[in-house]
Amino acid sequence: MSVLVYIESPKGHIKKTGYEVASYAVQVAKTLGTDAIALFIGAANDAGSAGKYGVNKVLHANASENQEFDAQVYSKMIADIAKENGANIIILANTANGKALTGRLAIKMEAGSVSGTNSLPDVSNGFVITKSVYSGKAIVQYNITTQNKVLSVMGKYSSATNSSRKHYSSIIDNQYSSDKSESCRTKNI
Amino acid sequence: MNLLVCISKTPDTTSKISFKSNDTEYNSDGITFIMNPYDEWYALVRAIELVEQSGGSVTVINVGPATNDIIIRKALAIGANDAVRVDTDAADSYTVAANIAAFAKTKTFDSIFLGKETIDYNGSEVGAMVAEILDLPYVSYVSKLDVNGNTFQVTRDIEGGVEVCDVHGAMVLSAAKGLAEQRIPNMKGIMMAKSKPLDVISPMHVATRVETKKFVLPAGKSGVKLIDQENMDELVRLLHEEAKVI
Repeated sequence: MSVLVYIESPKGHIKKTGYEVASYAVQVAKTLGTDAIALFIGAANDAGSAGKYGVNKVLHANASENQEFDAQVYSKMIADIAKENGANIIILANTANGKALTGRLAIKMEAGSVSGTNSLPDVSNGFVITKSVYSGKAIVQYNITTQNKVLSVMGKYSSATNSSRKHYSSIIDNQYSSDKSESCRTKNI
Repeated sequence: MNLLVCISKTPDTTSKISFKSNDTEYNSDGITFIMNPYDEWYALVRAIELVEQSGGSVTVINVGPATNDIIIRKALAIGANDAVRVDTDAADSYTVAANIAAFAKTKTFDSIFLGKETIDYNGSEVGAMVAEILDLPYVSYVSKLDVNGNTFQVTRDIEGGVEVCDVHGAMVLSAAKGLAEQRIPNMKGIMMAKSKPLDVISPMHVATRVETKKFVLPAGKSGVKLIDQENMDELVRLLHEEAKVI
């Protein structure tokens, strides 16, 4: 069992939210006494920098066919990589793309899912996390009852925290590629 | 073009939020419910516009109890052709998605539209789940949509800009602000809606994957913090550690 965090890197750039979600994943992994694995898909300048935030391993699927975001393709890759690496918790940023992946991964992995969580899980009695609902007028506590879990995390919740670990140099690169043609072809961003 | 539009019932945006049953259920006493604005204003209206341009029909689907019929009738009054209600409580996103997908499999729809999120649970998960179950492309946060033959030309909102893409064939689309303009049902539409078909179907029973444990109201807003102009370090620390904006 481990925690897999997908870090977005649009046009190769890793945004602050990417490191925030990595830090969150590391905290979840610590809570559960397991490892956090970072995953980049497509171009990602300095993917190894995720190591500074405490992840135990960095995977970079940088095959040429993986460069444009496609939720169908990416979700299949993430689910496959999670399975190969024994990850049963997937963590994503609560971005437009992150939310598009959350629902797909939940179905693929037969997982309970919560988008926009703003807390670390309380694992003392289940796997309880919170999120804002009613447009911020209330907070709900959800218990995810399935073995596999998919979370998208509010960026503001989790600050990017440098760990004592140095830049991660052992990147497993170009191990994965998509096997499905894109059905939604991006023309311009 | 036959389109399926998924609609939800939500409390009106100005509703007071409170809970009952040991804070495990929303207290709906005295609350006015509406059709989720993203479903109504953008997904439903754009679907109706496309059908008005090229022919076909718009079917609306809701997963919920009979008390939801009021918003379904409103959708029919705005211009949907027929409606389906899956007669079960929407226990979690997966329950809703599984039932919508099960119905969609029994018909032939050219695409499925829904709002980008509901304004109560703010989940934004159902569209992607439906797309995955049906093995269709999912395009979220769509703010512009044109059709050219069998190709949807889509503009979707992403962080810091928009993405323009082409989708060939059927898809699931979540609608964002700008996709269409709200329509107010006229008297003719309201009268016609009463005779349009609203089928109530039995649910597909699925095990819920996420349980609601409790609702809590957020702590009241604290007062403004005044920082001495000579104490810039403290200001920076608060902006970084508490406000998390730098």
